[in-house]
Amino acid sequence: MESSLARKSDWELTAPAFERLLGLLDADRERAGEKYELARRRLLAFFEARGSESPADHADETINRAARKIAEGERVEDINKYLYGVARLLLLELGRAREKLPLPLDSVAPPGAPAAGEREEEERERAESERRFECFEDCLGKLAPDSRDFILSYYKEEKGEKIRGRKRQAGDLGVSLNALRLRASRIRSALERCMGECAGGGAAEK
Amino acid sequence: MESETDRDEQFTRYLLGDLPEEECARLEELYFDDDEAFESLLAARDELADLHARGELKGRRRERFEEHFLSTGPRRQRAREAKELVEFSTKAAAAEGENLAAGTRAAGSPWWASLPAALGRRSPALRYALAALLLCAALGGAWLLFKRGGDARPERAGGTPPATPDAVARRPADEETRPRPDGGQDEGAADAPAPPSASPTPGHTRAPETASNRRATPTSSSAPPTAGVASILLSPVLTRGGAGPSNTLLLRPETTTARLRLSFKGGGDYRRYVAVLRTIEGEQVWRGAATAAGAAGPGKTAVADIPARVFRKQDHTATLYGVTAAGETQEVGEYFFRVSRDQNQ
Repeated sequence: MESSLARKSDWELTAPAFERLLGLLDADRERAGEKYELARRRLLAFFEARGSESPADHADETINRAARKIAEGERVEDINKYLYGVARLLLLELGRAREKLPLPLDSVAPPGAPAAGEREEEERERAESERRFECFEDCLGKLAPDSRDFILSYYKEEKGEKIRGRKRQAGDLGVSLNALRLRASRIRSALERCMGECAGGGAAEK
Repeated sequence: MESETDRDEQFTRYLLGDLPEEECARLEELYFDDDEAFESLLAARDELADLHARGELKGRRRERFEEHFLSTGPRRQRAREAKELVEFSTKAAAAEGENLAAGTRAAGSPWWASLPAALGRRSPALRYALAALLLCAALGGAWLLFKRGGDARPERAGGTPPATPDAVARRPADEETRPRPDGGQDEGAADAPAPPSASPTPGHTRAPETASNRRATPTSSSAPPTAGVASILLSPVLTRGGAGPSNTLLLRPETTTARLRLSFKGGGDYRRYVAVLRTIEGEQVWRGAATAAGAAGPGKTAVADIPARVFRKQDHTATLYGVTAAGETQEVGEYFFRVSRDQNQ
């Protein structure tokens, strides 16, 4: 719903415009593709952090607008800074559109609300969870063995505060806690992308 | 120059909506320009969601997470996925442990005893098919060789049980439901949010775990005192890791009311008490009065009766607030517990 609040451009991304955008990211086609993915992930993170209900739509709209401007002859020195500028403008538009809406109703269900279909819903959730776990296992299997062991050790539940376990893990690997955190985040990103492809995608795109 | 730690702290505050606009813009410029800074932002976001999923986010951080971070759909989804990652990793690690144990037990055993581990990284469908084939062969062989009726499963027939995939698949469930002398369960089984019922072998594709096969009998603290009422005595806990079997509330089909008995240290002069029930993701599902009951040891107990139908998820937190004569609300205690539904009674 929110994506329709901002004025969506009626312009469609053309192949030449996209090529020009890629050219600004890197002269090498393959590296440009990688940088494009990274730029899109930045936009997703930005819109998610700023409270967007449709980060993917807004990231794509930002890219479309930037590509259009570039195709129309806009001179861009730094494409990442430029994308950020376009994203901020879109965010302002979204904010203005949101201000015109009435306040949402309280999302808390009243205590007396009927529990129709509760069992079916639980069953469905359980089956979905089973399916996602199978995807998780398949995706784990695609990781390098050391990454796989690392991520299981990093995220599995254990007695006591996890932070202590992670300090121990960092000590065992001879790295700082921050390096441990970054490594976990990188592997987790790969795992989530694989999960998204396997299970039809959670909302948490990275 | 900003240190790595300061920057990470700023990213955390940014994600919690705790920074002024100029500072937000500065950080955004930074992570749009610098790959390492962007990685730090993602790591900070993962860590926040992870700490919340484990119940290890405290104080103002937790408040901000629940007020701000969980205020949008995509971020709530991220929080759900963080919780799922902990559950799945725990489950998979437990299954790995089983594999390892099976491998150790199978030392010197026939070649097929090591199959569960060998199949561990195949697709679930392939594992299931291969293991089913093996099971059929094992059962058929046993039948042809011994021509005995009744239970043809080799490990039940006495003697040393060979580690067939079937045996490995069944073992965790057997162990989980094995009662302890005190009526509780093995701590290892209770420690994991989703007990290691999913083995690395065909167990993954069998019927989903149910409340009845996970927990055969209610724990003493959740035995219903009257028909339709399930009661549980909770002590304030700070981490999910502290949730053992006695923190599981069993809801039977006939249960209409869940009675939470929340113990807390006396001392505060409160006129009344209010309990708030939330899912582990922080969504408030119920709020109502709690009645102070008789003293329990050195402390007190407040009782909140909650309609059973509001429990739609497995993991919950309850927060008890005291209201002073001046009308000020103070947090008295926070409690973590798990809900198990028994549908086969």
